Amino acid sequence: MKLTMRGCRGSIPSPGPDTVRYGGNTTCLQVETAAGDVVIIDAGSGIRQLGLELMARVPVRCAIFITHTHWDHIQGLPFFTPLFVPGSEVLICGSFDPVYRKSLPEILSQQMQYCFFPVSDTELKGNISYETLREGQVVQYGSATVRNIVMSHPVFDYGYRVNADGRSLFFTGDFEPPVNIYAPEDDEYEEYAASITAQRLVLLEALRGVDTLVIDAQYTETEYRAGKVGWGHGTYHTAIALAEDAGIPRVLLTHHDPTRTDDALDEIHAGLLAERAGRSSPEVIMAREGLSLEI
Amino acid sequence: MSADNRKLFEMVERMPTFSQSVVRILQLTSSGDAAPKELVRLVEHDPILTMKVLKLVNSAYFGLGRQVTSIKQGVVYIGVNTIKHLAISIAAIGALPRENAAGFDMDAFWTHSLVTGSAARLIAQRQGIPRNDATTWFIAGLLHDIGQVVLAHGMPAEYRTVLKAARERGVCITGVERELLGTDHAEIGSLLGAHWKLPDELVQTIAHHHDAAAAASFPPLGMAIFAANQVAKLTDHPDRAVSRVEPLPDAVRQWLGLSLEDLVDVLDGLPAELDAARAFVQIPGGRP
Repeated sequence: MKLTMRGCRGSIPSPGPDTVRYGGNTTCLQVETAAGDVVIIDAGSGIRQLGLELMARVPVRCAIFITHTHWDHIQGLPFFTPLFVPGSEVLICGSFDPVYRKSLPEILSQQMQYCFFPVSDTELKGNISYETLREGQVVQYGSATVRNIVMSHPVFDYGYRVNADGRSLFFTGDFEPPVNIYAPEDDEYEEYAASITAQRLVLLEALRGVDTLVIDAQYTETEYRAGKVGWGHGTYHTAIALAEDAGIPRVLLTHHDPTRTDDALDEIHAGLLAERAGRSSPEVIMAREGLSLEI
Repeated sequence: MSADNRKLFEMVERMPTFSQSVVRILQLTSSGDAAPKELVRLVEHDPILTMKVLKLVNSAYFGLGRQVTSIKQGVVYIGVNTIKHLAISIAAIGALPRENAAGFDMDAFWTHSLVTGSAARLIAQRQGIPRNDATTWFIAGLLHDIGQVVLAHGMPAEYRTVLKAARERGVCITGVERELLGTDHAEIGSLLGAHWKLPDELVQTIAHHHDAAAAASFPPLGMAIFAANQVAKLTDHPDRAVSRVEPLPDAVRQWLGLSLEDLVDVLDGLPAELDAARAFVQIPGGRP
């Protein structure tokens, strides 16, 4: 199967002269199996251009998996052309919002209310179906098998594993590895640490045998420690460490901070490679818009 | 489940939490940089909040692959913000009135629940139970009498009669509940726990926490809660206690290797836990 990064910016689209090479569109991954089944993960602004390209082969048939419904992961959906075109078959999958008790279609249709967008979801001409996923629920979409697992993030977030053609890809969505909320001297510290370890083992099990990990790495360690703990995003180092722990041979670092320039990303990437000199696995790639990889 | 039980559960679904918790949670979460551990402490100390949060995260709404058995585990699994928003949404329903038509003393109930939870945790330490399991033991102690709240708020007039009769006769309240209501708070609490899909070990412990005759077949958690409940009753304010102390069944005494009186003596941390529980039930800075 083939992975194409359609958007790898976090938080908000950030176009401009400083983000030309890595791209300013928010999160969207296109996965295409050898049989031509199209699985899209997240509908950030990157999905707009993807929609236009898919229109070259109508009728469009695809499945969109939503990691979570923060803006930068759904804001492109109202601009995904196939939704407006009769004959399109689009399956949209994601979790229920347990806090607000809203289903995925309810949340997605809210961003198409008239005060936000000129066309309401009831006017979409494509054949759109929704599937609300329980944790661990397996979706068979043509030749692709998609599983999910709850990831650590301030809101409910599913990481997705796509298996197809004998290969396997995992995307975390937004992900901050849990940190201990207690100080080492607190009575509860060890118990909490044990819970974190147990959670890590469950995640490592879900990642077993994955060939490529696409993971949230928004911050440097310094930025993270200087006030970003609990914001729901990982660092370059926690991202690579997860790939290492899970024995995954290739890791794509994504969800670039909107303030991060192309030059800064190059510099950080070079620094990571220099730090890792002599270590071949995992291969560390800085995700950029338009990057296509055979998985 | 009978129609009457369903009605009681529906009542509990709408039941608000303790006024003190509401004040604290709203105070804590109104500042953006609230320490997660403070939030965990607030939720973990309120039986209704704890039960409701566990109920929600284990419900079909979440569709989680694994069961959540404690607030801390929930924070690791689904994130502190999710737990925070659940707690706020539960707290936002409003505060449970401290007075009710049954004459059921909510502050005394809460203190007793906290002390039972703390005593269970101390017993867990003494018996060499792993720290992780000790949290479940605390929760079991915290929730063991939750059925009393259901009865007091669901059938206040009847429960007022029960409370009065139990006090006048100086007997264990469960017998009076069965005699006058045809059920008891252990059964109602366990039905509620099962209905809310709480872990089975909690449900069973709530169901049997007065069942001395079955003590020989109790798992360690059941033994601990039976004993912790009696320890807490010894510390209850005599004018506010709703149930008299029951003797420890042989099986529980053998498991502990101690009598009830000796147990109270060896639980070194108990006086501090008791002070903490009494302080916690008081409202910080006066009533809202």
